[in-house]
Formats: sequence, structure tokens, C-alpha cells
Amino acid sequence: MTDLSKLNLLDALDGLRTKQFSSVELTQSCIESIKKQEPSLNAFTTVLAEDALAKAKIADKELQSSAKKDSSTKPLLGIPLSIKDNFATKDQRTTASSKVLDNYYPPFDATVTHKLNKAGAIIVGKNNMDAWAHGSSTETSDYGATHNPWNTKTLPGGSSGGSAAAVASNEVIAAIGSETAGSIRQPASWCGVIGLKPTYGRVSRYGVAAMEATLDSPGPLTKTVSDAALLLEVIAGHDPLDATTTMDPVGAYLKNLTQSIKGLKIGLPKEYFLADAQDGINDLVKKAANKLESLGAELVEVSLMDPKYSIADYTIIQRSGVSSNLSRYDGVRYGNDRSFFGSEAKRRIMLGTYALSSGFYDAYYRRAQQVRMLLRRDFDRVFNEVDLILAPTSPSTALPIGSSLNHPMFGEIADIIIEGSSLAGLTGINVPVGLINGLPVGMQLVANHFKEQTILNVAYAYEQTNDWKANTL
Amino acid sequence: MTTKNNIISDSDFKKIERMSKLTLSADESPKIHEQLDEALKAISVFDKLDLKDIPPLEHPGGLKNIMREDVVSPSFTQDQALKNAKNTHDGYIMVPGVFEDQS
Repeated sequence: MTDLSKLNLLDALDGLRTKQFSSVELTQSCIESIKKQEPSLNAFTTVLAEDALAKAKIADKELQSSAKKDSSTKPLLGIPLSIKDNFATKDQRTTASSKVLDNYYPPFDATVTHKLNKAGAIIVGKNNMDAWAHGSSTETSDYGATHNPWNTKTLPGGSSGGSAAAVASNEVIAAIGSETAGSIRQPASWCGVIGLKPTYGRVSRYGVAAMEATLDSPGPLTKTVSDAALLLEVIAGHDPLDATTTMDPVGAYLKNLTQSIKGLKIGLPKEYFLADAQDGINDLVKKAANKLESLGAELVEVSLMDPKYSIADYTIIQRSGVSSNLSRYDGVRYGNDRSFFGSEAKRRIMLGTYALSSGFYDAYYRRAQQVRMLLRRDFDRVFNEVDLILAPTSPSTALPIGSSLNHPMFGEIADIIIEGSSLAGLTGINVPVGLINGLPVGMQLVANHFKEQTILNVAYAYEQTNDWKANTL
Repeated sequence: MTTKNNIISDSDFKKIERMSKLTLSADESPKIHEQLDEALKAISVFDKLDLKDIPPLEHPGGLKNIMREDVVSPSFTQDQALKNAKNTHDGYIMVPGVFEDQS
């Protein structure tokens, strides 16, 4: 049997259902891949090998007995996945890569965890991340940096860097991450995988260590666009445990996936093709845009607010959320006390506390919320003209290990052309478009609230024409 | 309040350290103070925007007043609720004293 861990999600499902291999074999292959690569990647905080194999055995029995191989009730039956370590996993260690939670074993599952388990997925481990998801490098993890599988001297991006690296290196079939502003799309870009940030409110935040309550969005990191469509179907939906989730029904994203993008208007915001982006990135992304034009889409130049406003706005909104959300960690009911916070968390808590404090609230937090309204209206205006926006995901390819240290605004710069769309609550996807010096380059497609199908279709159309294999490890 | 070089005055910095329930080391404190000032300087770009009559955006989806039915549902057992607490006594969580911390 070839290396099963290299399979994408749909092919793995097909193989399981047609009995080409068992879930135990598939899971074993991923565990071996993890064992082999973890010394150089460090993409996991916890590997659940025994637990996963036990679950794979049960899945095999179910696969054996389900005569109709009914995929509707358990669409992920027997598939080994990994999940970012800020998602609560019942009785399994959940650290958010912070020593504050070094010994935390939640008595409950996050809604996303619950949905994955219910769909038959097998969680083989918890992915490393920037501590508390504060960062875009995965080197602020209290458990050491994750390394980029394309070149282990470089960063995977972050904060879902462990999830992105695990997918890119075929340690798992697919993974789940979370994004506040860039934490799915940017590591997907640096690791050359698909990363889908759903609309805020599309996927439940219940049981995810909170960073900023009006931004956090869980989403999939996958090897193909179809895989992302299927995983989104599984994890999306209204959740009574998260009052900010939408009642809008979940789409049949996979079934409705189409290559036909004729007549779609794609906006290229000139402010997002930064003059100081790394050489070659803007060109590769424009080349991808031209490919979409050749498939029948119409390219339109559009103008959006300067991304410098998003950086400033995100800094205040996010830090304020951090100050509020991390105030609960006192080491009394669970975890360690506040002396265990790393310097990045301390810095963010302090700035947020200042921005929210009496006397400064109006000057900082309230003003930031007003700017956020301007950003939202700016996107509204552009979405009157176009169906989606296309731009580079990151202004650079993966940067060397160590780049984020002593740069308190590293993440804001790395995510400069993502933050605006996050603040507006929009959906976005990273699609790999090529390599520069052996490192992946990504484009992002961004659409209005709940238009996941639109960006999935465009990503899919592009994927079908591209020599995809050149962009995968 | 603000000194010549700092956006955040020394006394305000001490105050937010206390409100944040953090204890910064002697090395950390000036460094973080400087970094916070730097971050706040970056916010000055807002000055170029006309924010008159712009309402604050509090929630990107615009949802309001979401209620659920007020019904009893299963929850944690006492064992589960106490499992992660370091100090427990007779089924209770022992908490640190709070009244001596009135600086």
C-alpha cells in the first residue's frame, strides 16, 4: 500500500468505503508520519495515538456493518484529523499552547470537537499554535516553535501553524484551526495548503479558548478545496451554546461545488498589492487572477481603505478582547495562576486593559469600533460592484525561525492584508498559487457574509486548472 | 498626566498592571511600557478619519438579543467540576483570600 497519510480527505473516504484499506491502516499511517516528522516539525502539543487507534478499530466495525455505506450520518467515518489545541477535547489535555493550561483536562468537548466526533472523525492529536493564538508565527508557543515542512528553517505562520504544518507534511488527512484575523489563511499560505476562514457566526466558538469574541472563527485546513467544503459542512451551523452563531441553514458546499465561474466579478483591490511585498508575490497572484479571467470571470480593479487602518483598528479591538477574555484565568478552578502568562499575552492584556479603562475607553476602544464600522461599510460598497475580492494572502513567503521574536507588531504586519476582512466578519480562503525559492505563495479570495460557496467555487475552478501537485509536498 | 516621552504615564502603567492582575519583572516592565506606547502611537492614524456620526460596530453579523429557552439540561457532575481545581475541600474549591489584596 502506498503512503496512506498522503491521501486527501475525499480520496481517503473513498478508499475506506470501497475497502481498499481500513481506518486502522489509515490512522496507523498518519501516526507513523507524525512519529517520523515531529522531531523536526513540532506541529503537535499532544498526540493521541492509542486513543486514535482504538477509535479506528470501532470505525472499521461500523464501516463493515453499514451495508449502504451511508455517508450522510457519519460523513467523516474513520478519517484521522488533528485539531488546534485551543479547542476543548473532553478528558484530553487542552493547553492553547500556554503553560497556564499545562495541566488542563476539560470535562467537555468544544462544539466543533463534538461535531467532528459525531461525524466519525478520529482526532489523532492537538496542534501546536501561538500561545492563546496570539501571533502569526507559532513560535510564541510555550511548547516551542513549529517548523515549516517546506523548509524547517522557516516559520509555518500562525497562529494555526501546527494545523497547517501537519496538513502540508501529510501528518494528517486534514486539520481544524481557528482564525481571529489571519490565523487560518496566513499559515495556510506559508505552508501551501487550503485554509478557509468562515464568516463570523457560521461556526460555533463554544469551547474554543476565546481571543476576541466578535472575531474568532473556527475553520478547516486541507489539501484540496473539496475537502474544505466537506469539513465546513460538518463543523458549521447554529449552536445554542454560542449565541452569536447564525440561524441561516448550512449549505451543501461540496455538492454545490462548481467550476463554472462565468460572469463572476472579481475585484482586485489596488491597496492590497503592496508596493513593498516580497518580489514575485504580486505577480504570481495576478497570474492566478488572469487564469480565472480565462475561465470566464471578469476582473475589476477596486479600491479599499488603506490596510494601515485595519492594523491600528485590529490592535485595539483584539487587545481589548484579550484583556477581557484572559481575565478568567486565575488558576483557581483549573490551570495555573497568572504568573504563567508569557510576555506576548502580558503585553496584550495590558494594552487591552488600558484601552478599555475609564478615561481612555472613548479615545481608544469606542473609536476603534467606529473605524470598524467604516471598514465594514467600505467592503459593503465594494461588494455592490463585485462578487468577491482577490489579493495576495501574505506580503511574504515563510520567514526564518526567530523573525517574530522582539517584534510586538509582527503579526499585524504579516496579516496586514487579511485583517480588514476579519474585522468586517467576512469569509475568506487561501489558495496556493505557486512557489518562490521553494516556498509557497497564496492568494486569498474574500466574499461577503455567508458567501462561502462563492469563494469555494472560484478556488475550486482555479485548483482544477492548476498543476496542483507542484504546490504540494 | 502624560510625561514628555510616554503616552501612558508611569502611574497609569502601574494601575493597569494591577487591574490586569499581572506582576511584571523589573526587566519586563520598562520594555512592555515602551512597547505599549509604541502601539498606541500607531493608533494616531485614526486622527485622519472623520468619525463624526459613525456608530460603533459592536457585532459584525448584527445579531441582537438572542435568547434560549430557560430549561434544565444535564451539566457537569461535582467530580467533573472539581477535577481541574488544585485546592479542594469537602466538595468545594478553595480560593485565595481576597480581602488582604486591597492596595
